[in-house]
This record gives sequence, C-alpha cells and structure tokens, in this order.
Amino acid sequence: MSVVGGMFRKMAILSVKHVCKSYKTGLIKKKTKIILQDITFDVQEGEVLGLTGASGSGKSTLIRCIMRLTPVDSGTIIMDGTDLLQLSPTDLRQSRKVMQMLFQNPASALNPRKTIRESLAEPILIHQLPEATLKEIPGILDMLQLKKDLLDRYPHQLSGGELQRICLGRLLLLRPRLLLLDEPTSMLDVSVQAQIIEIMRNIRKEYPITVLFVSHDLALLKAVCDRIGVMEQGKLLELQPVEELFQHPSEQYTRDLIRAFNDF
Amino acid sequence: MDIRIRDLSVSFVTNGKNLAVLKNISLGLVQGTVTAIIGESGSGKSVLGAALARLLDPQAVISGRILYGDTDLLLLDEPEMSEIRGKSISWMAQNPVSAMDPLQKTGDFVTEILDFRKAFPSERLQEIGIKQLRRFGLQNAETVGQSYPGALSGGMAQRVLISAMTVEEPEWLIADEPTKGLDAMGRRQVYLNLCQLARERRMGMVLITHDLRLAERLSNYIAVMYAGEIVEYAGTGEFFASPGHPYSRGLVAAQPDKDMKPIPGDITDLPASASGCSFAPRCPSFCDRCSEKQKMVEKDSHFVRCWRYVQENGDTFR
Repeated sequence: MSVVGGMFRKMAILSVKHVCKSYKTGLIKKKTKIILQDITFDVQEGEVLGLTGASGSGKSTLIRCIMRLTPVDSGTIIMDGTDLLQLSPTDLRQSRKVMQMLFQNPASALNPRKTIRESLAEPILIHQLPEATLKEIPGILDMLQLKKDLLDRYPHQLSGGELQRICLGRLLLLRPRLLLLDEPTSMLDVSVQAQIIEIMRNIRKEYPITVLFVSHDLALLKAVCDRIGVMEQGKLLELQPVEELFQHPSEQYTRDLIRAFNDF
Repeated sequence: MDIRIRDLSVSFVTNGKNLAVLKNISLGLVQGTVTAIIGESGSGKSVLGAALARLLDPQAVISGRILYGDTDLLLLDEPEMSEIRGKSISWMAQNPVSAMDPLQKTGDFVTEILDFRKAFPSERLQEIGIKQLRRFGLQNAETVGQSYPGALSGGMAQRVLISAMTVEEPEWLIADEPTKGLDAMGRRQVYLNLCQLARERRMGMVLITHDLRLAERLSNYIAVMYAGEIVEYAGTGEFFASPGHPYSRGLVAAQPDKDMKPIPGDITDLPASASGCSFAPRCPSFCDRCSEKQKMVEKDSHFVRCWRYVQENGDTFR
C-alpha cells in the first residue's frame, strides 16, 4: 500500500509520468502542435478513473499513448512496474492481454466480413489462449445480456448497443486488469448507455477490473467514477475524487465546466 | 404555419425485403413551439426529420401527408420544395463538420443559400455572414468565417451550422441531435442559441435528440418514438412529471442523473404478434392483451399508445 495525500490507497496499476506528445503540421512551413503537456497521474488498482475535457483537449490521444497505439515524445508509462514504452513488439502484445481498449464507434471496430462468432474468437486466437477459452463465449454473451443467435450474424445486422456489447465481450474474454474506454457510449442513447454501464458494474462485482473512462459527459462520469481528471489543451488541470471535484474545483476551467453542467 | 403529419409511413427496400421505418405517424406541430422527438437509435427519429424536409433517399417508399398549412409537401416537385427548404423549413444535419464542404470557408458556407437565391448583392454577403455568426455567440466571427470546417471545435462547428441553417429566418428548424458529442460548455452554448431562436424569434422547432435534459429544458411538447411509431405525446412538463408509456418511463429512468436503470432487451427484439405492441418483448408490464393492436389513448392532452394507461387512469378517455 502507498500513502497518497494522507490517505491509504491501493497500489497504482498504471503510472503515467511526464508524458508529452506533439505533432508536426504543414507541408512547407512546419509547425509543432502540442497535444499532451507533461501529463502525470496514477490509476489505482480497482478504481474507475474518469478523464474529461473539451474535444481536442488530448483525452483520446492520452489513452492511445497508454495503449502504445500512438508514440509519445517523452515520459514513462508504467504498468505493474514495467515501462510500456520500453517493451519490444512481442512483449507489448503480452502486455495488451491485460490492458484493453474499447473504442467510440463499435461499427468501425469490427471486421464487417466476419461473423460475430469469428470476431469474438479473434482475440483468443491472436493471444494464443487455450482453445477452451472459446467455450466461454456463450457465457460472455449471457453476461452481456445478448442472445446466442447473434453469433452467426454480421456486424451490420446488429444495433449500436449490441455491437458495443460484442466489442466489450471481445475484451473480457482476455480477462484484462485494466480497461481503457474511449467515449464508449457517446454514440448510444441513454437506455443502451445504462445497459452497458450496468453490465460493467456486474463485471466489476465478479472481478476487480480497473477502468480509465474517457468521456465529455459529466453526468455519466459523475455516476460511475471514483475520481475525475479534467484536461484542457493538452494539460491535466486537476484530478480529484468526484464529490471533491464537483464541490471544490480548484481550476477556473473546471469551475466553468461544472457551472455549465449545473446551469444546463 | 402549423405542420400536420398524417399517417406518414416510410419504408426502404433492402435485399428484396420491405423495411418499415415509420408506421402511420400522425403528429401536429404548432407554429412557434418546440417539439422534441426522443427515442432509441433506430426508432425512426432522424428519418422523420429528413422526411419533413423532403430529404429522404429517392428509393424510400413514402405514403401519407405532410401538410404545411394547406400544402402537402409530399406532392411538391423539387423546384417547389427548394423554395420551401431553407426559407420556411430548414434542416440541421447531425454531424456539423461532415455537413459542410471541407474545402469551403465557413463564412461562405453560411451565406451560400443567399448567393444561390441571389437574395443580396455578392459584396454584401461577407458582412451578412459575419453578422450571422456573431449572432450565435462567435465573437471572433471574422476569423471563424475565414476558417475551414476542419479547424473548428465541435461546439463552434455546431454554431456555424445553426448560423447557416437560419440565415434565411425560416419559420421551422429541424435540428437533428444538435448537442451530440459536445462537452458541457458546448452543449450549454448550443442550448442558449436554440433558446434564442425559439423564445426571441418564435422559430418553430423539431428537436430530434437523445439528450433528455435538452428536451426538458427547450421543448414545449415531447413525442416519444419506438420502432417507427409514436408511443407517447404530451406537454413537456406533464411528460417528465408522469411519463405514461412503459418505454418512456424506462427512458427517463435510464438517465445518468436518475437511477441509470437500463431497459431490458434491445430495440431489435420483435414482438410475437406483428400487429401487437412493438415494445411488448421488453415491457415489464407485458400480458396477453399486448399482442393486440394498441390504440393511442388520450387524457388531458396526454396521448399514450398503451392499454394499461387506460387501466391506470380510469376510463375517462377519448
């Protein structure tokens, strides 16, 4: 156990330290656009940590950097004592078994030419899990409140909510310890969103999965997170427990954001 | 003028099968008021909005009437409809950035329709465009007008789209998911812009949205759609105080600031009886009578397509 801010907390499962990221823009007159500026925070084992901020504040880039889908300029990203940025491609693939990402648009996350059964089996085959894992697919469908006759359909034959649950099922078959969710319900309506959140809550009752949840929806983050971080123009302005953030935001941008949320 | 939708049905033929997206929709839209259309993805909300602006795919099979005053919009030819579209009834697409030409400056986009109609001398268009952008809270309107869509934030792009779609001061605005993908500040700004149009300029609005909080704050009436049908219609205050249809109750309870309780099942679950209630497979109050065709029943201008609403409220129905 470590001591953070005078409170005992669990060990950090993920430590992001001084991460910076920029892009070069322009063909002739090259300019540097800074996307992430010196981002430092820990994600504690078993918590749901929310990240919010305006479009373009760097939320999605940050979790893509954590997954190593986007290279960083500098900094370290440590998962269970291992610096992910130093891993070889083979070791990186191993690390992705325990750290999985759910994308915003489920329709574009699935191969349209594969049946749902094939899409669910794909990560098991890629990560060379025992063949017995394939037998877990029906059980996963039950957990996701999906009917088994969906298995032989193609993605275009499913609704947005069903597709997102299939994407979640693909990740859960790998038994990850950390889930990175990038606006997973922003394309879904409130009832489907509530269904996915309920499923996540049920799963977390069975095994303590840690979640990093990116969303611009403050109402949603307030309902599901333990702590929320606020980003603006590539900076992590503050990171606080939910109640503390809503009652005593320390940064002006956060105050404006919460005022807009409360006024609306 | 009011818009009256009468028995509107829309279907699409895919792989030789007829897919009914709207089923006998009848709805009255009162001039100068805001009607929010809410419901799950796939319930037909956006198709209804596009039908009102006559922007559906030419392959769509349409029947029924859409009366704008005494004119049936479905009987107009395209030049006649072009005169109405934008001037009288304007449609705001769901994704503002993809609704714009990526190679056209936003200022030109805002005034494109005025240029098309030769409504003003071309040298005045820039000034009109800037004034229109400023009206919707874009203080640096000159810079925004010279930008391309890709350079705008989600909130700014949405305000540019509102500016363009209302530049001809239409009587009606059909706004399809105007707050989708926006953060709290962008959402509030768009809400204030739409409020300004509804309250100050008395613009009638059809607000198609998943955002129940926006619907509650902005609209006068709520129409709830499920599987191509309107299952409930009421004044907004009355609706949120006591939603009548089991689906509407589920929708309200699923909001993050309420219980966040999901509705079991999925919109693709089909009822056992084709003529019965579409929501029956997911309904917590299901019984045999739900296999019968459900009529819209009314009590004090609150319309609900569920026989249980009669049972719960006595027999004082029309």
